[in-house]
Amino acid sequence: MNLFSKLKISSREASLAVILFITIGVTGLINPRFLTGDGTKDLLTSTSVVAILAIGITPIVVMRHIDISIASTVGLSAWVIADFCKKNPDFIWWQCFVIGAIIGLAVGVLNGLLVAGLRLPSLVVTLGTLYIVRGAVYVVSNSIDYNAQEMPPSLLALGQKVYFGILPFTFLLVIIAVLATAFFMKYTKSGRDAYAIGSNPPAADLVGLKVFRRTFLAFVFSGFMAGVAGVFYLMRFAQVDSTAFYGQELAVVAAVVIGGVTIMGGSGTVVGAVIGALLVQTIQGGLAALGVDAFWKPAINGLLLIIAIFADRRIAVSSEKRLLAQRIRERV
Amino acid sequence: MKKVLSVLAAAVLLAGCSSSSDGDSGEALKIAHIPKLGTIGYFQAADKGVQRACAELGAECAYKGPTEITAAAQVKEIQAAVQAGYNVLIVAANDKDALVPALKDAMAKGVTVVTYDSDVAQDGRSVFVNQASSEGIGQALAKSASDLAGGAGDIAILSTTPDATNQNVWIDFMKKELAANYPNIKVVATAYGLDKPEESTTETQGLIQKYPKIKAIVAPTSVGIVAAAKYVSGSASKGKVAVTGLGLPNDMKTYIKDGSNAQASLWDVENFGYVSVYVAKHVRGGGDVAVGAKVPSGPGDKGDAERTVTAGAVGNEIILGPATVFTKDNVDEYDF
Repeated sequence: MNLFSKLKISSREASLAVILFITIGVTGLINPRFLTGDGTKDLLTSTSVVAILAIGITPIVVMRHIDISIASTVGLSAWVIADFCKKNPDFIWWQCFVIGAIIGLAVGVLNGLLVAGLRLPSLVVTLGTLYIVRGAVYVVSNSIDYNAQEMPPSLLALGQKVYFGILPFTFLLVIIAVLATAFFMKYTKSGRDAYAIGSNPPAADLVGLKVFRRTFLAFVFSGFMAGVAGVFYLMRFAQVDSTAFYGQELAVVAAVVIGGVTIMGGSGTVVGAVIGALLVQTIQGGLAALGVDAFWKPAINGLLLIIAIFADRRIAVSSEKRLLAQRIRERV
Repeated sequence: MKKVLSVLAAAVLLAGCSSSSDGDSGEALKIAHIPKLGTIGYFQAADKGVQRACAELGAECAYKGPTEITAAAQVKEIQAAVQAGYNVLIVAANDKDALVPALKDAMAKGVTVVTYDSDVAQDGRSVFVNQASSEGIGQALAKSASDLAGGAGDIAILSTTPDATNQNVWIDFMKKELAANYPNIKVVATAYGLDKPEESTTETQGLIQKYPKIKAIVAPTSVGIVAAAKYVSGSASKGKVAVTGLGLPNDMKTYIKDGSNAQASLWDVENFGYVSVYVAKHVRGGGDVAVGAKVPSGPGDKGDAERTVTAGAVGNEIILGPATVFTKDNVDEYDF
């Protein structure tokens, strides 16, 4: 039928989208400026970094793994790009993307080899690389930070670029990435294998799925997206120091889980993950627009997360019941 | 740079003042300038001032910047400088305690130690040269905000956290100054960006959405001011909502010059280095640095010709002077 059903969009994503629009609507009623073109542009711009990372880790979470090294990778990517640009003033925007991608891929390959190759638990491996990569940022940066003056004007101009008055360039890339990844997850064997591996890892091994290759590539993909997110970070903030994006990995995991990607693997979509990221950002932007202090942000995030897990559980229980009832009916 | 901007508490001086014992006025000054880190623009700018003063005095001055921002690296530089026969050390400390043994050794060998920018414990140096006074910063912020707002209207503050001591002191002085001299400027809100670009940007958006009439945002934080200026320069509010606060001229140059109606304030770092040399010369010559004592500066000082030693929050210090406001007319003169 339509694109939505083809891209494996379940009722979970639809209901999330409804919640998202209600949130936007309510905030807009209280403060109409939130709904202006500038407000929408701000929302999409501020979601871009988390959204691209959420797309990156969704396949990993679907495979019952996790990657919490991403925020450190964003920091390394952003700092090293800025450093290259400072030393090569002729650099233009696409060269920043190339450097970011290479750094991201390198971290991704390391994570992938450790998790898929050595079969180490991904939480521990990526906790380790979280510290290693952040340590690398501290070492290479040597307390030097960079600002707009040192960054390529072409990159910053691209960061300001807006289509149709509301769609920032970075979010356009998010849309392209989400469509491509959703298509891949739904229509390729590798994508469908990810769900099988996450549903039952030992069984996936037994039936001969290429668990090593799929897992390895998922981590490489996540690293790549984190490297790209580093470019997004520079485009958005035009400032970077060794603490860039420090501690933000759990915000991405939260967005993914709120977006309906089950932390136990086997279900969820990148579309849901991006809607989750939008929802989190809408609430935060909305709170700021209503004058609520930034301190409420972590608490609200946590509350959302628990509600999301609760909803997941309810959906899982009710679908189990439905399946059971169906089986009983079939036997009778 | 956050580390650089953080104003460390000044400790009591007086004790350990080794200067009087070998205050030989005919002796040549041999000064080692040891900043927190050699590679960053802030301290390179300070060293320009050091060199300017040294040229006036005919002193021999060396820039001994460590390549990493640690106390251990500074201890090595201190010991090497003493070995090499430098008789004055001008130090911006990476740690208030860890440098003290090395500095005490140096002073025991007759070397004069003056700290600037960030202090060590009292027995590690003769005197501390502090940045602009909190009151001076508050006044500079108030003046900049009023200038940008056109003398009347609503403004908002973007700070770090509600319990950040420095920011709260600066904001208090700014509010007092506004009440006293700029009665038509009204502070309508204070938001907290937690000194992170993410939160600072979101809070800037929120301030503008909630208070569409504000004419200026004042961010007394080097992260917040850049985040606010970056956001405004790319939004529909560019040119309508001005941004000012505490920031380095190089960090803010892009926004000061791109029509965003931005300014920044900070002490004049180059003059900071210059003054530190003359303070060191005063101490080396046996001059008094007790509270109330007068310390003369050189002919090329961009501020006062003479400064009075004051009691800081926890001890005695010499304060550089009022903060400088960087505008589109003067920002190109500064490189730090």
